[in-house]
Amino acid sequence: MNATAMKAQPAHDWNRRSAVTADVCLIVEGCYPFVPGGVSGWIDWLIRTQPHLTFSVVSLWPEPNGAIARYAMPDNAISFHPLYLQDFGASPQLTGKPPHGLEHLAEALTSFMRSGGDANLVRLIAAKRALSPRMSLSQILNGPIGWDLVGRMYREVMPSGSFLHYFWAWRALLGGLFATLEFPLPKAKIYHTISTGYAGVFAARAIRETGQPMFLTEHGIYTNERRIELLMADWVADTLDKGHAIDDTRMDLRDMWIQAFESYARTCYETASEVITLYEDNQRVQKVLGAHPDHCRVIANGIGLERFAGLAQASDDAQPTVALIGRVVPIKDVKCYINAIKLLRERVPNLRAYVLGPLDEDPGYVVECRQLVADLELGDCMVFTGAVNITEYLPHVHVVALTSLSESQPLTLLEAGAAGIPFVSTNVGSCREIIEGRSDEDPPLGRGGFVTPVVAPDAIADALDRLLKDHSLRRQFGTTLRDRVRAFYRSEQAAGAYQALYHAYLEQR
Amino acid sequence: MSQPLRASLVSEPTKPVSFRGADVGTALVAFTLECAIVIAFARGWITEVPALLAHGVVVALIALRLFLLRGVDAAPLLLLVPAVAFLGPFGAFGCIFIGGLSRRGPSDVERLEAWYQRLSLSTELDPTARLADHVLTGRALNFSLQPASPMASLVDHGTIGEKQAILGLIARRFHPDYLPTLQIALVSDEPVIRVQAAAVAAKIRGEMPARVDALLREASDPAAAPDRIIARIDEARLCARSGLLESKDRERAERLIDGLLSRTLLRLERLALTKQTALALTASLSALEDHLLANMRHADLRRLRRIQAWAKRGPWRWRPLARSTMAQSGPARPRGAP
Repeated sequence: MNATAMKAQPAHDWNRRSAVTADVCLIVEGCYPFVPGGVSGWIDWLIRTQPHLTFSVVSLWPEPNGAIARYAMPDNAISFHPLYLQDFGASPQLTGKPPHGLEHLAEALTSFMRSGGDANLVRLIAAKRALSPRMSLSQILNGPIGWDLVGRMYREVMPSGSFLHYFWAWRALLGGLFATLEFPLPKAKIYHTISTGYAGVFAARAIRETGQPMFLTEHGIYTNERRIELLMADWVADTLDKGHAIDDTRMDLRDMWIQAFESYARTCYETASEVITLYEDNQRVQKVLGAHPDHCRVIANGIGLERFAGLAQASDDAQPTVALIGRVVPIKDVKCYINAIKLLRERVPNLRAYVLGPLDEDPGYVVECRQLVADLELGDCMVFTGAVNITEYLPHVHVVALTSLSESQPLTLLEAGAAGIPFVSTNVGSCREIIEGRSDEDPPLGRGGFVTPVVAPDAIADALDRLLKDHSLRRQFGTTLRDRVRAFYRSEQAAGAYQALYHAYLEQR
Repeated sequence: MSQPLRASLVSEPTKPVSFRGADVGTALVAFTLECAIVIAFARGWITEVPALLAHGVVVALIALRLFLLRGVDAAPLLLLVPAVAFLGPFGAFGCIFIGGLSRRGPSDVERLEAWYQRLSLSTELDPTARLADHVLTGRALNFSLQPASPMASLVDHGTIGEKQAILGLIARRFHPDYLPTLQIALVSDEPVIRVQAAAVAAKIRGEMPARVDALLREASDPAAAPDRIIARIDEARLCARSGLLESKDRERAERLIDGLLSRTLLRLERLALTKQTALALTASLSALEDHLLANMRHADLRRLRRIQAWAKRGPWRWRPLARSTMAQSGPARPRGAP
């Protein structure tokens, strides 16, 4: 896996289509191949590390947006299928009357959105087929059928709330759901989704229609991310006055959105043959959300060690240098890093601080960060490099920091570890597991850095200060981290685990 | 707000006696047969006894039909039997006539039923009443809910769902008083909660400069009530000290808060405050006291103390004892004080 080796490619490179049955159909939502880094980088790695298998890719997006692919299409990817969730137009389709059987569809939809699950999905698919085998999505959502459906479901689901708000939420949710139920399934021997949500529903549908196995690999827990987003969202109107009560059982828009995504997730977890994640904490959440314990497994990410094998270590008498490796986006909380550098600078006057990562994803945030650097008078010590080859910088870095608000298993942590550089990270994702070792690590290797609370610049500054000043501790932590990465987080290990899994199922076919 | 009527509590509407199509048909047959008997008797084709027997057969047939229809509403036929028995064809004709008139009845019954449902605020029949009921349900207080638990306690000991809901609430309706709860969540043992707390902190931090500006703008409004101004200044001060403002914004906010506080205290000192307003100010003033002490703003502190004293005791103290007596017996107490 190499997050920095991506190449910009024109979108037409991804027009490859094939009617041949692929070994694996990857179903991805909102990332590959149009967003660089993170999960996209992992998907690219997965396809390229299984050259003996053929892949097709279904990429779910809200609507066509002319995005440019950020990865070249791998040779063993034989077809690419964009699936647009909200691309059903807005022109009214006023011809025809609502057909018979609409009440069954409304009931099936209500049950599915409420509790999800395999049985409800089967019932929904049957009800939809019985109603309108040849009807387009636009005919269903923009005509009398849609109006009748929304009325029936509103009375059943959210009769106390605002109908106007319900209508638009219903349209967005149902539009996506119908799109995943309508879209032609690419032929494959295994369906592998990289999240729950709509991608998960699409994969669950693939199981029911083809009888082939389905894998789910989650880096972050999609349902939980949506839940957090929805609980905080200002764009979701509160149409019921619940005051500050958190146990009010009346259904409002926010509850409906969350319930829908939980139902989609439950459907995916129930039907998946394998539920994979990167670390144990995530697995616990998956089980709570409905994953069968016997189907759960952890396959950690890995990196290619050869790139970092010969890198020199920054010497003790070199200019004290720390680095944050990652995209300059709010979720990385680069501002927290800058504030920590401000505190650290007062203790280490000749400090140099790098931010090594792309600056083009959220230009507004980059401007804010630069402004903060100027306000704190850190212009002479802080450097935003943009996207770079980190192997050129790591030999000059004493400590790497990560101030993210949310991560799953950051590659930068593994890359710094492979280079023997100690790490200071916020307590997110599997960072503690990598830095301090898993509870079942045998023999225990020790600590490879420090873990701090999130949004705590003072704690980060303290940890960086300690590692910059205590050279033997820094070397010891660096060595420990390198040993752990070599032992447990090699790319070949992760690729081998997936290869074995694919083969086990392909041989049964 | 009405509750939907339960089916078991709603009796079927009772319809008045009315002729159905079959009843009118029976009356028509009876009329024809009776006419035939009368004509035959008048022409001398039959004598009295056969005529009476035939009449009896017609009445018996109607009675038989009545017997076969037991269990259903056969009131019209019950009327037909004596009418035909005593009045012959005239009775049958009368029943046909009455039947024609009575067939207009049911529409009135439906209207009456709808009217009754509306009067009783039933949600069974009237979509308007049903919609109004739903809207009211959504807006009304739900007294069946448990009283709210303290946020900090729930974030520490609640379920994951409760913790997430609280953090969502803090994100959407932030108040500086919620910061301790957020701090607890940021170091929670539950990774899911830590991540959400961090996201909430990031969201609040992004909104904080605009929030402080809005508070200070509100506090600068000369038309605003003094207690409201002080409360807004206090809130802005808490926001500025929350650690969620960038240093440049924080310094600017603190400068503005100090200036505004000085002007407000000066204004308050000169105002003839009502007792009610003075009492409302007390809590906010106490919070600001520490701020003024910490920033060594002694002139403002003296003003604040004077206003506090006024709020506590009122502008006058009644001294029932002479100063010389007071010196011996301690400070004076207002009459009636314990």
